[in-house]
Amino acid sequence: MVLNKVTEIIATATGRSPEEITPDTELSSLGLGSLDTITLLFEMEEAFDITIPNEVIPEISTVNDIIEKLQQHNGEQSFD
Amino acid sequence: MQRAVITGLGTISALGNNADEFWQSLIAGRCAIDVLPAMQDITIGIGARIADYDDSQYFTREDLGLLDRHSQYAIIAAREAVADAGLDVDDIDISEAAVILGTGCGGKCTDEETYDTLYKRGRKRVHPLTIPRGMPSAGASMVSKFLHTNGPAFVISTACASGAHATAQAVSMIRSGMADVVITGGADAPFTYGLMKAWEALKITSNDTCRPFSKKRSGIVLGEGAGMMVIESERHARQRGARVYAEVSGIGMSSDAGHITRPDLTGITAAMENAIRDAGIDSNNIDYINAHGTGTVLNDITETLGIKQVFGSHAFELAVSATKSMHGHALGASSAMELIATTLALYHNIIPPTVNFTDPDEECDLDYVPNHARQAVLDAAMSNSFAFGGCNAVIVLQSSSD
Repeated sequence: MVLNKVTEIIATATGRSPEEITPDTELSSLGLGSLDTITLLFEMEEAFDITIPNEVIPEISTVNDIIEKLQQHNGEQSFD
Repeated sequence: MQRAVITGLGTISALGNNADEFWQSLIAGRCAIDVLPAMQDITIGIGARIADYDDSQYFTREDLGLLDRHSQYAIIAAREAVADAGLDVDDIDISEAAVILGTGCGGKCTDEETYDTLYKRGRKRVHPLTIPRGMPSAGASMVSKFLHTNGPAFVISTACASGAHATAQAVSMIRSGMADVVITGGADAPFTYGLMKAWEALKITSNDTCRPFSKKRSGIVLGEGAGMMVIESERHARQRGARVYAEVSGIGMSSDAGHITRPDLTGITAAMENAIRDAGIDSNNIDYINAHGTGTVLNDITETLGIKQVFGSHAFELAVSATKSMHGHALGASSAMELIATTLALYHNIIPPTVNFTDPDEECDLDYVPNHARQAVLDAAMSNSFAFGGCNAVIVLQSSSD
C-alpha cells in the first residue's frame, strides 16, 4: 500500500517511528527543510520508479501531498 | 613570525583506522596491499583498500547524504587529529580554526555515481545533493561543518602532492598570524570504476606489489584514506600546554614546467633545496627522508639522483624510506600520511622501513631501510612529494625541544 511505503521511507529518513507519521503530518514538523524534502522526494521517485515534475514540488507540504503527487504522476503503473 | 608545530594526528587507511594502528603497522613493516575484489573488466588486481569500511559506524544516514567517500575519510581523520591535540574539549574554542584540505580526486565517487545513474541506468534525475557532495571543495566544507570551525576553509589540489601543499599553506597561515590553529592534510577515495580504468590506461600500476627502490619494482599500487594534522602556532600550543610532536620548520615548492608525468631532476631538487633553506638548517642536519618513493622505475631513479645532488656525500649517511610500500599510493592523501609517518618517526626515534624490498638496483644506491624498521636518533627529517603535473612540495620537520 502506498501510504505504508511512503511512511516507511519518511520514517527511515527522519529517524521517527512510523506511528508518528500520518497523512496529515506536515513535513516541516518532522524537521525536514526544503533541501531535505527534495532529497526525500528523490527517494520516493527511486522507490516508486516515477518522476515528480519540479513545478509541483512547491505544492507539497504534508505526507498526503506526497501520496497525491505520486498517484498523479504514476502514469500507467499501479501501486498496489 | 610564528613557528608552526604539529600537535594532533589522525588517519584512516589500509594500515588502520587511527594514527596508532597506522604507526604500529608501519614499524611492524606490514604491507596493506592485497588482492582487490573483482570489478567488472578492470585488470588492476591489487590495492591498499580500507578493509571492512562501514560508513554507518561514523555517520548517520542523514550525514551520509552529504558526504562523498573522500569527505568521510577527511572528517574521520580530522576528528581524531583534533581529539589527539586535546582540542575537542568544551573550554577550548576552535571556532576560528582553518581547514586546508588536500585532495587529488575530490568528489569523483559522487561524479561517477551520477554518470552511472544518467548514462548507464538511463535515469532522468540524480540525487539532489550531487552538487554539494561532489564539488571539488566539498571535503574542506564538510570538515569545517562537522568540526564546527568558522575560519578559512578551502581545498588545495595538486594530485599526489595535495596533502603536502595543503600543509605548506597551513604553515604559511600560521607564520603570518592569519591563523593559530589549522586542521590540514589530505583525503582521497580512488577505488571507483572510472578512476581505476583511468589508472589502468596510464599503465604505471603494478600487479605484483609496491617495491620502491628495488630492482624488480614494477609500478605504483593505489591506496585510499586520509591523513589529517592539527598544526598550531607554537605560542598557542605552549599557552595551552599541548603536546608537540614536531615543528614544521621548512616548506619548499617548485614546478617542473615540463613533462606531465615524468619526474624532473631540476624541479625536485629545487623543492628539496627550498625546503632546507626555509628551515634554516644545513642539509647535513637531515637524518631521514620519507621519499615520494612510488615504486615506478623513473621516480625512484630520479628521486635518488635528486637526493644525491642536494645532499652530496651526506646522501649516503641519511636514511631514506618509502612508506607507500605499506599504505599504497593514496594520491592526495599519501603526502599527508607520509607527513604523519615522518612526524611519528621523529617523535619515537624509529624509522619506518621500505618493505617488499628484494634486489638492489645499481641506480638506486642509498640506504632505503629495507624491510625492517630501525631505531635512530632523529633531529630533522624531510618528506618528499612530487606530483603528476610537475607540482613538487617538500616539508622539513624537526624534533620539538620539549
